[in-house]
Amino acid sequence: MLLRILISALLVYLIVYMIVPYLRRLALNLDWLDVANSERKVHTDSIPLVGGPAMAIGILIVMLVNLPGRPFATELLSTVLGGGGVLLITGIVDDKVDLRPLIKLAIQACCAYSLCIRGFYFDGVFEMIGMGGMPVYVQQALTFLFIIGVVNAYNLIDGIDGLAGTLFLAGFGWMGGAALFLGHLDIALLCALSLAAVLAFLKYNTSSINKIFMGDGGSLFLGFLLAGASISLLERGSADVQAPFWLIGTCAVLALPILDELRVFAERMAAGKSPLYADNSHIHHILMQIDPTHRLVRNWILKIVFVVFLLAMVASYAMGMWGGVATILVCLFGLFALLQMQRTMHQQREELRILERRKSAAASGK
Amino acid sequence: MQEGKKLAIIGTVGLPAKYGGFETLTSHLVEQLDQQYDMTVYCSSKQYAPADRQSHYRNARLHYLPLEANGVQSIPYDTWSILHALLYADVLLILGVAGAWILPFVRLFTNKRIIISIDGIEWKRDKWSWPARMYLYWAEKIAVKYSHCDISDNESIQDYTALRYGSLSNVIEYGADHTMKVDVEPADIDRYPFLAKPYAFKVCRIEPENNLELILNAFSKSAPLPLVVVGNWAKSEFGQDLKARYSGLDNLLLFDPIYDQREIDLLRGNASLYVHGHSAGGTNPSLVEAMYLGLPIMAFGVSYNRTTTEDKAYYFDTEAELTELLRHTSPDSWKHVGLAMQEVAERRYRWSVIATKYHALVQRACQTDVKAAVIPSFQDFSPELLREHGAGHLATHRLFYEN
Repeated sequence: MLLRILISALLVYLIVYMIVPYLRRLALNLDWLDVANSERKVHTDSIPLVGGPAMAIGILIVMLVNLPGRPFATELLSTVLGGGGVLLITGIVDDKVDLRPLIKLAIQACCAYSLCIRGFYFDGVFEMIGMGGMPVYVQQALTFLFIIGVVNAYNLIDGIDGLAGTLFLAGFGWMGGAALFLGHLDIALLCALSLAAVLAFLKYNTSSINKIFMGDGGSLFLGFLLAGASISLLERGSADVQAPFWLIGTCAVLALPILDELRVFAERMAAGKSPLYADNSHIHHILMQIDPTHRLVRNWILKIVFVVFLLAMVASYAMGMWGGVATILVCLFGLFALLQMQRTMHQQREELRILERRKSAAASGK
Repeated sequence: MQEGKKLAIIGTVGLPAKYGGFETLTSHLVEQLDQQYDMTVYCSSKQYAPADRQSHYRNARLHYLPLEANGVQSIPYDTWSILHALLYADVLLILGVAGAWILPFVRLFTNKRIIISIDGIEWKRDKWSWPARMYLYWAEKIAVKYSHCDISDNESIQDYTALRYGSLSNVIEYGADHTMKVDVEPADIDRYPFLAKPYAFKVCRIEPENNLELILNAFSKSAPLPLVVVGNWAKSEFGQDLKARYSGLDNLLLFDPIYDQREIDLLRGNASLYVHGHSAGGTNPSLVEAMYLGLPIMAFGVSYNRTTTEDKAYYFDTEAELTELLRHTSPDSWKHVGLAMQEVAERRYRWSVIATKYHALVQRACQTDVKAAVIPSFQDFSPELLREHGAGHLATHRLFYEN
């Protein structure tokens, strides 16, 4: 079984790696590009948005090949792939045509809903955190919010080269490993294939000559897969002896994108603006004020996730589940406080520059 | 009775002064005020060899600490000095914000008066690493919030603190009357041949924020007179590189640091023009010293320099502008500017004036706990209310920095 998963992963890697150049050419012909047309965009030339479709095609093909046969033909895979496929198509259309945010949200809602309806919602997890005994539709509603949250978090953090990809690697890597350990081979397969696809994508995404982006299609698709995998893993993991371990690990890995998303929404709403108002306030924007090199900022963020993960695991071992949760929150809120200070410092520096260039009142009268 | 109050001066390298502006300031404060206060100055034993460590400087006690006063060690250096001073001092005069983190505790547990000088907006300077800048940014806030009085050395910095903190900083600059007017003697011309003819002069630390490349370029290309630059070229790679690139060119004479007061005043005081490229925050001692010597000044056009020179000097923002100035202003007009500079310096930049301001500030710190806010209290009232009482004009009051 393990061998089969490995071979499948390798196959995905090869398929994605080989398919990208063809899709690139297709994209250039169809004008399916991310044009550098706004202040918020960090890149300066037009990049083909073929990462998402390439990864999806690779994953879907190998998944379909594997489906006939016992261990893998579970509800999870078919549901997740169905929803993922819908989101992929939405993303592709949006990249070309720019759909209204509400429409995108509606489609995401349908896919998330379909996942919940098919039985993928938090139940055991709620028991673990002391919120057991709620009616099913409440559990489904909260799970629904979780899915929307995860999907959009990774979409929003796709702002500099390789960032979303690397964070997906962390997510799928942890969950794939945990799934293998616990013997849940369908989740393991899903994660392994996604991991391989992202690795192949990153080779192009971080190069300077053949650069591609994953686009909204890619981040929504992978985000949906990640959300589905985490719900499944957490639910099955909640029955395990080491349940808190799996919960905290997954939280630690997902925490940064989700909490950053919530932070940005909260700040925008506190300032009276819509949460979807476009400003440069995500973690990678602020870190780029310190050094604009993408590779450096990406490494910093990865290191942060890694450190938080380690600390949370140690804390959950030493102090139980709530210790782990507290550690994650303390670390990330501390980080956000630092980021906020960096942001005001940067802003004041800009204001000072203007102040310093000012001729004094006496001179302006001359 | 203010006499006999114990004053501790914290945050300098030490006395006798041989480092920079704060040290020179401290030595003059001691000279002017040591009869009125029982003063102690904290010094770094790392900068004074055992044979040079005196126990007293004039009437002030010197206390040595085994730490560097600058760099990252300034944090424990200042902190230790503050804690030690709490044992006996009534007033703590702290120069620089490195030790500011401890001030909330000092205010909470003691009644000692804190006066802090926030130097020149250190956190915005590129010379510091990111963690250092974050610390300085935060420490400056703590310093202003938890001191009884804070000092800016420039009115433009007072604008900045008013905007950021809403509190009124006290502007106290530096003195320059320790410089000497030195006449050129034949022996001097042997050592420095350029003294025989007009030349321009600049003395500064060799750092990017002093705009050296800009100035060296402008003078090397087409200047009516040579430029003499004295600075610590060898200290950094940046300096060494600059010296290597510009040494050979005509019109430029680059010298290593000169510590003898007479010698530096000889070269500086007899120049026909002083060029000042400093762009970081605050009043520069070297600028006020040049002003006191009556030198015509071409300064980088940043707000701090304009404030120091009361807008009466020449200003440039780019190499092109400096070249323009050199080409289109004549030595005759320079003389007028030089006299204007001297007038300003004699009025504002004398140590007796500065020391009196510090004295007044210490007295004020001893009397009040409340810091002056920038926004006048009548602005608490709504414009309608003010108009009702015939004071409508107060509703449109503009603050001093809103121009």
